[in-house]
Amino acid sequence: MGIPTAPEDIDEAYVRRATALMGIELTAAQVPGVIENFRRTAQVAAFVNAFDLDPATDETGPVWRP
Amino acid sequence: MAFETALEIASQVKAGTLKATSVVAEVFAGIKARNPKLNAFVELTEARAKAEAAQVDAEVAAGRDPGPLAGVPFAVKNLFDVKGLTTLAGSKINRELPPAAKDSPLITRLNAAGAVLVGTLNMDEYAYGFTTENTHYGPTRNPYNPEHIAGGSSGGSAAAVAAGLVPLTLGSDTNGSIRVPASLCGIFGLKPTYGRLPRNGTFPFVASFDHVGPFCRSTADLAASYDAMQGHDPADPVCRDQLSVPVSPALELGTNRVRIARAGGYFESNAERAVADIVLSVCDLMGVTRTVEIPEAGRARAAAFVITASEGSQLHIENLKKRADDFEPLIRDRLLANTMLPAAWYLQAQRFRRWYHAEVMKLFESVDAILAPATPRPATRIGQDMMRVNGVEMLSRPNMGLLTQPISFIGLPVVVVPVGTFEGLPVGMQIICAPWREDICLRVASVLEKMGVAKFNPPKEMQ
Repeated sequence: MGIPTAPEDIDEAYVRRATALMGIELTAAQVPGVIENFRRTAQVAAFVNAFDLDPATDETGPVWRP
Repeated sequence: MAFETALEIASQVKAGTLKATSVVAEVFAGIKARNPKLNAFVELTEARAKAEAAQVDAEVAAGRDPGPLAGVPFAVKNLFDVKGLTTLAGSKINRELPPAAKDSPLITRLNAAGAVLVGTLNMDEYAYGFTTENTHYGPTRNPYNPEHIAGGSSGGSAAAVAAGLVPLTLGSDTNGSIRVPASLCGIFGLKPTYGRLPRNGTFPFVASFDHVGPFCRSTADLAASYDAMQGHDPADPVCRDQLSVPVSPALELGTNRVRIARAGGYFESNAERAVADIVLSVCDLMGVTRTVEIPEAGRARAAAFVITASEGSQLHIENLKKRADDFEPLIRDRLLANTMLPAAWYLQAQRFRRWYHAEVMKLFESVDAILAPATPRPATRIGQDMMRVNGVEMLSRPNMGLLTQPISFIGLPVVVVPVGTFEGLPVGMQIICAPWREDICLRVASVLEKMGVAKFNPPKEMQ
């Protein structure tokens, strides 16, 4: 299986293996919609990921108060 | 009585000129006559409503004050816990859950104010939608044109108010689920500040973004219902212990010294020209000349999408493993896909959220209220997959929240007011304020209403 490096590379083999890690076994009917939705989310996430933030200094939104 | 406001009803009930039991009888007759066409209500609580109404009448007869919402019939989106009913959250799967042991706190507070619960309302399954096209329970239809959506995910809540079935409903808003249906159904909606109203006793969707709030046909009703519901609840860890100050008296303050601006940029280019022009003409009438650009609003919407995808899917993962095909077909594959999201994507989105919040707060140093369209266009047809906004073809369902998501992303309070129509269907405008300033949102809304600019117009279909 090739490793997807871009949203358009996400394929059936990838989604089957990734969901299996979550304990989910996809049916044949579910696969096309899962691929389409994951590609869309990956494209959206790429836009967010392109924004330059420094994990060392930029805190995430939620702050835990013990 | 169908289109009387909540406060008009309460005033008559408290004066003894109208019995709460009569109000309830008329409400149920109206629901039975018109709900089959609208599909706003899913369940009715007739016995409970009659008992509550009788109690209100007894209080009035005994010379006691039943509360500011005496005898006001209200209904709730069916993700609110109602004692004795199963909290469906628009789903088939939840039918198997036991009935709720107690009411959600907001229902208890509205009851304490004298309001009478009449039933529960349709929604997108698990709140993951902007259209209330629900395969299990049927679509909720727009009272202005039944071939069109009512918006979502609180579609039943908005349609019931717009159609004159009840004057007050509750909904929830994660990415736009109060604001979108309020806009598409031509009514008033309030999404308070994140953490203002307690969410315990509701079925969750995205803990980072879930809000709850009311729909009404007037600003005064929004303020009155919001006042009745304010207050900390420690059972909701997100609910802040913020000072509860009634906003109803503040409506008379007007907008003197309130600095108002119009949102340009993203909020202009992602609305159909005619919709943006409606907001522009509202600004002209108010003498609002300043435009502000909310920075990186498009990226904020994208980050909200990623956080929603991650948290929303994780909530349902056990059922996705065992019975994925029992989910709504419109969301099943989206939920399955989003179980795979890398943690790095989610963390980057949350990190961006903090950056974006800081940038938007800078705007509120020099402006108190920002005006923006609530939806890119009016309601699409039920079953419509694509829509055109400014000549650009796009998926209709996820993009109805284009203009609401960047705002709920950082939990700002918003009132939506009806400001006009396009293609014969209503459109609404967002009044966006700094955190905890619901009072300013409502003051601006009240002024617009007094000017005749923000106005509920009963749908011809329902008259």
